[in-house]
Amino acid sequence: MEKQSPSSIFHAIYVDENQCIGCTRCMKICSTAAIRICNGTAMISNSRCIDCGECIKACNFNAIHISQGDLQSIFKYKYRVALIPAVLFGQFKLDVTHDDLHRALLSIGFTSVYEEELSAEFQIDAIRRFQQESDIKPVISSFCPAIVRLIQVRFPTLTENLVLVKSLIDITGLTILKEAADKGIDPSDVGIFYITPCAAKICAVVSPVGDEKSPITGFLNMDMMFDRLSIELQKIKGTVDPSFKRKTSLTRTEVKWSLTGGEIKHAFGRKLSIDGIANVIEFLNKVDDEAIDDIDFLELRACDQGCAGGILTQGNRFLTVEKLMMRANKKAVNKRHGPYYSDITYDEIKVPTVNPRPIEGLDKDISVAIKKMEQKQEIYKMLPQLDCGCCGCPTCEAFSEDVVKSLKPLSSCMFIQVAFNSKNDRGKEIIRKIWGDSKIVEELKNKLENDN
Amino acid sequence: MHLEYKVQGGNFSKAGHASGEIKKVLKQLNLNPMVIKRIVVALYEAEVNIVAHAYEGDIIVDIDDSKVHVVLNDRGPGIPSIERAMEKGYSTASPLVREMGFGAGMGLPNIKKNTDELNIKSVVGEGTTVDFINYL
Ligand SMILES: Nc1ncnc2c1ncn2[C@@H]1O[C@H](COP(=O)(O)OP(=O)(O)OP(=O)(O)O)[C@@H](O)[C@H]1O
Ligand code: SF4
Ligand code: SF4
Ligand SMILES: [Mg+2]
Repeated sequence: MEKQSPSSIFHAIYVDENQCIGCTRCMKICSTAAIRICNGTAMISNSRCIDCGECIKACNFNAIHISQGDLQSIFKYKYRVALIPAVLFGQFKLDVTHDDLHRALLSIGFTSVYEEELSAEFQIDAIRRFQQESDIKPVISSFCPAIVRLIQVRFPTLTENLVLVKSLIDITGLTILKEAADKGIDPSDVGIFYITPCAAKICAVVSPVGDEKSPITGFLNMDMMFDRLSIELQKIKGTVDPSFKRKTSLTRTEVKWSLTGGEIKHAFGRKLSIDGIANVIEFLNKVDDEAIDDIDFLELRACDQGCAGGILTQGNRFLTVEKLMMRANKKAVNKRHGPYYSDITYDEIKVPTVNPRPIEGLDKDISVAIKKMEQKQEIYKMLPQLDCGCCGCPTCEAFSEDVVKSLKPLSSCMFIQVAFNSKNDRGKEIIRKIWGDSKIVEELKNKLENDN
Repeated sequence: MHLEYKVQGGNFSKAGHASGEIKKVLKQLNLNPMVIKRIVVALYEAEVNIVAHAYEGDIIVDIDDSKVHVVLNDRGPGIPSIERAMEKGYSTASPLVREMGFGAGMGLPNIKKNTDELNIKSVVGEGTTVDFINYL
């Protein structure tokens, strides 16, 4: 098993130390226990974070940010391609047409526009092949990069259930480069910029899992682009451009692909689609414990309602779904069969493997890990088990782990401190009033002393 | 390292709870994920067997740097023929248990497949002991 060194993992999420007050909200919501409070600010662990963006939603102080793409950087390229996910359409009113959106992107400065989902048919093919060629069950979709990372860190044995295929962004990126090459364009003149609905997809573009390099040049955040496009759409409104002719259009399947349930109908057998990170974890725990082998396919999305719920989307996720469904069900939708550009082979879109990166181990050496585990359980028993967060750890369990790893002193726990400070009668009285006699104070002290 | 858990017969809503707890511990010991997977599958099946077929039992796990040793003891009806019970598809599960999705007769064969050493002892009318070892 090959392990990436933690420092090589790219993240799109970071804490603004000037804004953060260390309130612990983000720490408590994080599903990989990646956050600790240190010196009054939240710190995110490089090896644990999966860039799901849940901490941003939980922050009341606007202190957690996502890396920003720079719109000016597109002008370094002669051919400037906007690569857009279908959810971008769902951000705008229904009277904004597909043509309008393309024209707005061109007037911002792009020279052409492609939709991410134009290569969805390749994914369907890859999912089906993977299902047929292995007896792995359940096969798990690798569409959502936050889910792929979640599986790498928290469910390492399930990495082998992931469909080994490049992301839609990369396959469409490949399409764009091939079309350019067909026209004799030098690939170094082409800049492909992905308009991202979330942090996880920034990571997928900057450092794709299981793959060396992405054909994508850069990314632009959808919230910023929404504002910019709204201005441009206002200008275009009611005008016609006789020279404009849109090249691409999406099929019904492609429009719905990134929403919950978008992929699932194309997989074989019994299948489930699950969205929302907590729901996904609940089910993966079940798969992990019970070796569920009568479900054939799982479509998993970190966000509620799939990408319509992406952290950088502007609109309400339910309305976005409704608007995309309206667009998908229009008669004018494209009836094309197969992908938009078909001259790509299966070999070109396969990825070799997805490495597990387990985060739970207490030590590399098993006998040391066993000792630490025993210590950890002893420490845990002494703690109040209230998961108050005042020590800077999300739970008493995480705190006991940090103590055995020598990352935190035991005295970071307020309860332990009060128990040991015999002069602090007022503190003991307060604690007793709130949590009762049994929780702590003399009892805890006795316990500690007996154990020593 | 030594762990102990109690299992209640008939309590299907809790079935798998002990296995889940043990899995959490194993993951922290930095064992090979594939080794953990096998142990957890065997453990889960054996735990469910206590819930489905016996009255009560306990799970004892001992871990050192070379192996994980698991013993599941139960008080229950016992198994008249272990040889038959080990056959794929053999099950005496009640209609109620089948209703809950168990009773395919695959538990014991799965335990066999996922363990390095397996020893089952049973006395009819008294109970069953499932004892297995997986090497690290
Ligand atoms: N702990 C036990 N006590 C009594 N009988 C048992 C015990 N474990 C297994 N058996 C007997 O052995 C049979 C086969 O067990 P096995 O686990 O293979 O299948 P099952 O439990 O019936 O179904 P499944 O495990 O597929 O849900 C059981 O039906 C039962 O008769
Ligand atoms: S992005 Fe997700 S995984 Fe990373 S710190 Fe925030 S909540 Fe945790
Ligand atoms: S569901 Fe979509 S928007 Fe949300 S994290 Fe996954 S890829 Fe990003
Ligand atoms: Mg069974």
